Amino acid sequence: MSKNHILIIDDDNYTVDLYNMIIEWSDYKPYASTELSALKAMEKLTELDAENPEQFPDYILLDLRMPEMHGFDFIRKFEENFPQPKKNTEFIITTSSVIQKEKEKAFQFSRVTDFLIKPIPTDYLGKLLDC
Amino acid sequence: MPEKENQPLLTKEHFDLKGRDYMYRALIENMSEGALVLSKQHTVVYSNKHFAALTGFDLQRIIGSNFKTLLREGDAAAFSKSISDALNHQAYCQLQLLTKNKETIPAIASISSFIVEDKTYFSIIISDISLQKKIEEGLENQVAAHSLEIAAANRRLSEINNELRSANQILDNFVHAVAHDLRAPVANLKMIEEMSEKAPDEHKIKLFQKVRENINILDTTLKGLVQIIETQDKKEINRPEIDIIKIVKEVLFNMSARIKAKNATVTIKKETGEKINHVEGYIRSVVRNMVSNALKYSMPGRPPELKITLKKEKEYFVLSFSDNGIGIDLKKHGGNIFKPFQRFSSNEKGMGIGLHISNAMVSRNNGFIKVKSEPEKGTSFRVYLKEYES
Repeated sequence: MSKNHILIIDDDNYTVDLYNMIIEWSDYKPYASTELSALKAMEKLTELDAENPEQFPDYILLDLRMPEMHGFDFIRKFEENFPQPKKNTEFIITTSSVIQKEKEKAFQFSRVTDFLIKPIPTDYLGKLLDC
Repeated sequence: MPEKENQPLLTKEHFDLKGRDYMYRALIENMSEGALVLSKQHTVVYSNKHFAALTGFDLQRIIGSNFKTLLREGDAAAFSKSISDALNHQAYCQLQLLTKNKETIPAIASISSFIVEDKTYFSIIISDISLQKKIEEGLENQVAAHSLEIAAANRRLSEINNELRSANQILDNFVHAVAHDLRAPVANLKMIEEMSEKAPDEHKIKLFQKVRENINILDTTLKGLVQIIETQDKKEINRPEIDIIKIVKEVLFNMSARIKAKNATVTIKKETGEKINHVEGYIRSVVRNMVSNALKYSMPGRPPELKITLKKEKEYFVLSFSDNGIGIDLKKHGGNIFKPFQRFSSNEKGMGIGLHISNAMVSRNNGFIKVKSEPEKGTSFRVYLKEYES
């Protein structure tokens, strides 16, 4: 069974270090990658779409509070660049502070399918890869 | 008639006609209101002593005169109206009595009519209300004065309200920022704990390193918090005359190792050498923050250049810091630039409280900071320092 592709976008490099460890210590490496900068992530997605569309992420784990671009702006930009039904990527919001309003706002995006308060369970990535 | 203690207050004599006449007369003569009887043509046919005393005229002058001649000009019409009302029922009117000294006394007249031997008469009781008027006027003045005070207090209140609202907003942002910044390393630590449960020993060593890192961030954030709180309630007791440029030079000297490491050039151009009454610690701290930002947020591959100038602009000393760094996208971040725990770049580590603290220090006595920036070109901060009163 082919695995899903996952991209994790989070500006906290300490958190990203941990994601990288999980990816490295398991057999997820060909399928999961991380990105610290939302802008770079967008560039990467454009590149993948053009060159390796089969590796285009099925799931994006997305932080909200990021310095260059807020997570919601990232989703809007994503919708513009990769509209449905060509890309059916789902977004999973990961955030460290629990603000009810943000949660409600997040689910207004049809692509957002989950809202997680950090830390995400360590087996979450594995489940996403196989679902 | 000798008085006895057990003598009844009213005797039989009081009730015969003569006795009653005497009693009424005494009552009217001695009462402390003016009492008059007018003929149908408004001629005074009787006046008591009190009315004479009130106006200062002799009784002879009053009796036989037309009552209207005793009134201030202009009051006669209102009086005539009331007196014709009095033919049907008790009437009242306010009027101004003329006195012998050509003054006027505000009074209320209570008028009723009666008929004796087919002739109509009017009985008038005049009450002097100058005291009430005075009290009223006094009250009015007081009310007017209080209204002004209340209006001023209201204005102040709405100012305070605005201040509170913005303080609340700041606090709100602050709490959110703190919640996020404290929560993030804690979440990491929880994740590390979960990861280490299943990890083999060689992974555990790496995870332990991560524990240390996250504890350090937690520590740094908490220290930053304490620093912000200390700035908030620092009393600026010491504000001697200080030489701004001298302080700038001292700060640059203290930071020379960092400036050298970044291969940076810092130039000072001053247009004024004046001294200012300000808090030395604040200026030192603001300069350090500005220089440190210029060094931190430099454009990759371009050695930082920082120009510092000082000039006078109206009541402000303007200390400017212009760099050639990565710049800030003000369209995107302009509103957040002085909020605590904000970072506009993912390249550099920082707590994101420097500008917040600098701005808080400068604005304590109504100074402010202006920012101009162009991404990838550079940023210029202009710090408007207002002098403390010495």
